[in-house]
Amino acid sequence: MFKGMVGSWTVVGIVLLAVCLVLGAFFGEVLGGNALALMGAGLAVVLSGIGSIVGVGVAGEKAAGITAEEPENFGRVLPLQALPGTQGIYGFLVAFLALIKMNAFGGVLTLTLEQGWQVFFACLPAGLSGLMSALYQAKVSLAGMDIAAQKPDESGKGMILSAMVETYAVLGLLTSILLIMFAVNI
Amino acid sequence: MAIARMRKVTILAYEELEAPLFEKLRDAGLMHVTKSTVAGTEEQPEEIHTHAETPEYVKRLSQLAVIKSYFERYNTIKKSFFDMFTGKKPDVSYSRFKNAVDTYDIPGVFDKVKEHDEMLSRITERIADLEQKLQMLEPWRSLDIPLGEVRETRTCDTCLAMVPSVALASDALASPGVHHKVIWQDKGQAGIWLAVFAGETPEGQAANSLLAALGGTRLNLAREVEDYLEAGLVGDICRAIEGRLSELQEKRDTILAKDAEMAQGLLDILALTDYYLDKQNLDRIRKEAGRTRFTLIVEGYVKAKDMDLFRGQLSGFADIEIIDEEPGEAEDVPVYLENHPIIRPFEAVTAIYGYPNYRELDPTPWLAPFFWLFFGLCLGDAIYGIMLSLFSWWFIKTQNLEDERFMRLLMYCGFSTILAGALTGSWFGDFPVQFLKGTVIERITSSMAVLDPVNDPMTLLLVSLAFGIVHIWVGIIVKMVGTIRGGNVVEGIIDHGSWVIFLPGLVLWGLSKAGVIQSGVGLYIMAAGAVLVMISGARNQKSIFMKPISAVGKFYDIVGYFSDVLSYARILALMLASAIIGVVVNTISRLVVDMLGGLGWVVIPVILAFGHLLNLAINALGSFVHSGRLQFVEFFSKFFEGGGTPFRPLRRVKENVSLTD
Repeated sequence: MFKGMVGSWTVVGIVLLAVCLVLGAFFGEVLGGNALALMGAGLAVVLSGIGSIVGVGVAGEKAAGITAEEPENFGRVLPLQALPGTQGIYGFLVAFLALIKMNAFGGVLTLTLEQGWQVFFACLPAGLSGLMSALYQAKVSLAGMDIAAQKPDESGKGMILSAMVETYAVLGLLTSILLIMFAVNI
Repeated sequence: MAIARMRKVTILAYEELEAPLFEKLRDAGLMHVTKSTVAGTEEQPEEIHTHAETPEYVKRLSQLAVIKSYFERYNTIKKSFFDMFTGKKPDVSYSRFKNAVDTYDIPGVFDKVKEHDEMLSRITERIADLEQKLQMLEPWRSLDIPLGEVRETRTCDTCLAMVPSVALASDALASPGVHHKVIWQDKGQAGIWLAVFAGETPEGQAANSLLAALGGTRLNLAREVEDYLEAGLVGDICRAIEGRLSELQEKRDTILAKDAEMAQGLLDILALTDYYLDKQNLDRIRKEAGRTRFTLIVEGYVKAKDMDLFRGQLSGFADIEIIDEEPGEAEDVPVYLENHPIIRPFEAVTAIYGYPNYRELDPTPWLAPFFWLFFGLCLGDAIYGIMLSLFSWWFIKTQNLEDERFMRLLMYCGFSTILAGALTGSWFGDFPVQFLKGTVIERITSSMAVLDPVNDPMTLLLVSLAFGIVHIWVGIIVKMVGTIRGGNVVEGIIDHGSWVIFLPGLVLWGLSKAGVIQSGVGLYIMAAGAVLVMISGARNQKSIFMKPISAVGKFYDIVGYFSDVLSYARILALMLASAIIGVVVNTISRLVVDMLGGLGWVVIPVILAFGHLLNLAINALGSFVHSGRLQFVEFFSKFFEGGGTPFRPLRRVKENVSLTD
């Protein structure tokens, strides 16, 4: 069942991104650089957030099922549920950095259209890689919970397998951080 | 040696000794018993030992399972919050265990549990039924005729009925020969007592046609409470039912109280479950032994250093023969890791991947420093490190763990986290800068900082990659040493040694090109290494014409090493993640103070505690799995084979309880 959800949630995320791109492309002059930059920061949170919400959600369902049968396994399935949750935090982190870079906490925002687009695109690697990797990582976590249920002593292997997917969220995060800090020209 | 030497042990004994011998082996807990290589050669051992009937433990275990689930409704064993994570088992003293085995009447308790269970479900059903009846009678309490009298007589049909309230004004009810009295009205419905003169031709129930015209329904309350009609008026019937109800409830309470008392024995049930599981386990192991007509052959492995102890333990048996020998080349010898106490906790990391096989190196001492370092760098906050170490230390002290390697590992990793945090100036993120600006603490913490990951990530990226190069380089060295030790000196030096020389040469050459170092020595080292790399590429190629191509093609391996090294960028990313989230938490706290003023100072401890704990929990998890991954994927792929069977000596089964003296 979850298999189909991965595809549809990916589509939801990409449609969201497309809407923002279209808005920016056609109404950029009206909206201004500030709006574009804020849209980018929002997308980083929302895209990776969707991935993590769905991922942690389905993983939690299965974790609860396993805990119901063997309460002792709670400590083993909890980290597996938590793993697809990091992407949402990475997205939040990127949005926060972007806000600091824009001086959003310091007063008035005065970004040009070009700067707005720069922030927008700098936020995307974390958002998109977070969306996809959280969904697929949740799939591996679900399978890892079978390890935890059937061979409790081997559940660490499930965590490592799940972490393999997260690599790409980490790379997306790193790219966004570097882009915001060094490439964005504010 | 990091992997314990084993002796292959074969025990020959008379068959009569079978039961006591296996019990002794279990109590000694020193021998990993394997399936006998001579099993089933003389006769079919399964046939000899096929039990005519199912063994006792099968029946007992199923009875115990029923009793256990019944008793658990009363939940008499308290578990602490942490027990959910540690899987800690309740303690049972050996004397209680012994007493339970000798005296606990499992079939008796089982029968009682079954009886009580059935009784309880009957009573519960009855109570629900009576409560429903009471509810039904409730509105009719003001009826002043005994319920039993409301019935048809020869000429008159009386009944209770429910009609819509609007129908009460109907002419039909006022017509001659019809008599009614409203007992209750509620929500557009009315309950009435109705008497209809049936005339001279009493066919069926005369009131029915009237009720049909009114849109009402005839109620037969009397039939519902037949057993209680003698009580008379509805109020009296209700009282009678209530009396019966309280009787039933009392009966139920008595059973529940008895059960709660019986359930105090849950611990005994758990201990007995282990006792019979142990019997089952011994029975299974016994079937693996080899047999001839009169003798029993038990095979397995014992740690070499435990051999004397093992012989001593079995010295009570006069007529057995114990042979111990060096394990053969092709045998799957079980593996027991033996490391220095400081390295020991890191065995938990090795165990996640799987054990090394008996004939290779134990990777634990090699991965230990790197895992320790990487974890610290990824988490990278001094206060988090202190919290992690203190928590693990407290946990080990108070929780009495069976295997404390993992918690000790976290404690050590806390130290490297403190170190990394101090060097990068991260103390609860930028807490000293945000809240303690200008104080001594701020000066001390900032004076210790060498690098700033947030403002100067490029330097840390290079540091991360440099650690990666060293890690991979060490991995190749381990492979080289292992290969040479295994007797393949040429292969070790040329195939692996070539990279050991070439890679640092490449790095040094790159550094001198970039102007970081002046010396050009790197070029020569690299050249020497490159020659060896080409030799290793050509060496294994049979065709003389293909040799040059293979030699050059060998350099393609650089791509693999390069992508391995890039993977270490995650160290920087994770470090930034935990550092910046710490900053975010502090910034939000400051914003709250700015917005709320004095009240803010009341709120921020909550925000700070919640935020930093969340950051610590999530990033500690991330640091652990990613440091682990760097070992398993990047490091182990250079030298590690794995596939070893862990050494699991025959011991008493302790699945549900842990026995104490």
